[in-house]
Amino acid sequence: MNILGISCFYHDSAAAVLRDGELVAAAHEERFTRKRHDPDLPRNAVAYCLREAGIGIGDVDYVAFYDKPFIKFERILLTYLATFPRSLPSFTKAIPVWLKEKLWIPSVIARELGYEGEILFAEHHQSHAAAAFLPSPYEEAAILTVDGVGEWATATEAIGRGNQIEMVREIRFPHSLGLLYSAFTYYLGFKVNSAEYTVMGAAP
Amino acid sequence: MSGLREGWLQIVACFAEVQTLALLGLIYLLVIGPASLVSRAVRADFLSKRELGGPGSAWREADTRPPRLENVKQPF
Repeated sequence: MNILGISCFYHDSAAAVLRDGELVAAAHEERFTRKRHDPDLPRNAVAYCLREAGIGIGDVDYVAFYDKPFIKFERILLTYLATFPRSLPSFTKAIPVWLKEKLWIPSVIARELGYEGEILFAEHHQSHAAAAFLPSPYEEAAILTVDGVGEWATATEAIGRGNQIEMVREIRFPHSLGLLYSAFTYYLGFKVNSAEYTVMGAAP
Repeated sequence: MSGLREGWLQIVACFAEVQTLALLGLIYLLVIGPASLVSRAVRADFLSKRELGGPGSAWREADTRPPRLENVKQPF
């Protein structure tokens, strides 16, 4: 079974191909386009991964997307309601991208990649947990993910066993260590979703 | 001729941007604004800021579905 994983339309889009559960290829779109943190559909990364796997898009059994866009959109709309009128600049900036691309992931992938099969949507923190646990050498492990925000969760505790992941507890938006970190990144004059590593490097 | 066309496309793009901003601004004021005021009047807590998991902790039971095939087929 061939699975093509895709992350895009936020920041640092990327693709990966798994064959029968084994990672065959993975690539970051910005390495091909030379556009830092390129958020667009990773056409080049997908083409590279398929080429490395020696397959075409027609050989892909599933495309897996890294989060559930409708739940994320719900959270964003409710945040706009809760923060009216301060959310106007964010609303005018974010909504066009949602209406144009993020709410139409299956159509965009079908049209742009020529893929006609099913698309799977993992939850954001399940994707993080899977990326940490599944390639690890551990058969069983506790998994902690701490992020800005996914759909609603901003941090999760999970248990990994074999190829199964059980989510146990979570912290939900707006409570978020990751967003607090981003706030400090911004406060220090750096770019959010970009220079967090710079701030980390500046720490003693 | 192609230069003229390029220039015209740039002007149109500017108009489109202004039009989009105006439309979204209107939607924000006419839809999000009243809905927000009503939600505040009924003390709706959309972001669950009053609901913390325990004393001094924001951790709560995970509200998630297991990553099984039937659960990941929907984008919601």
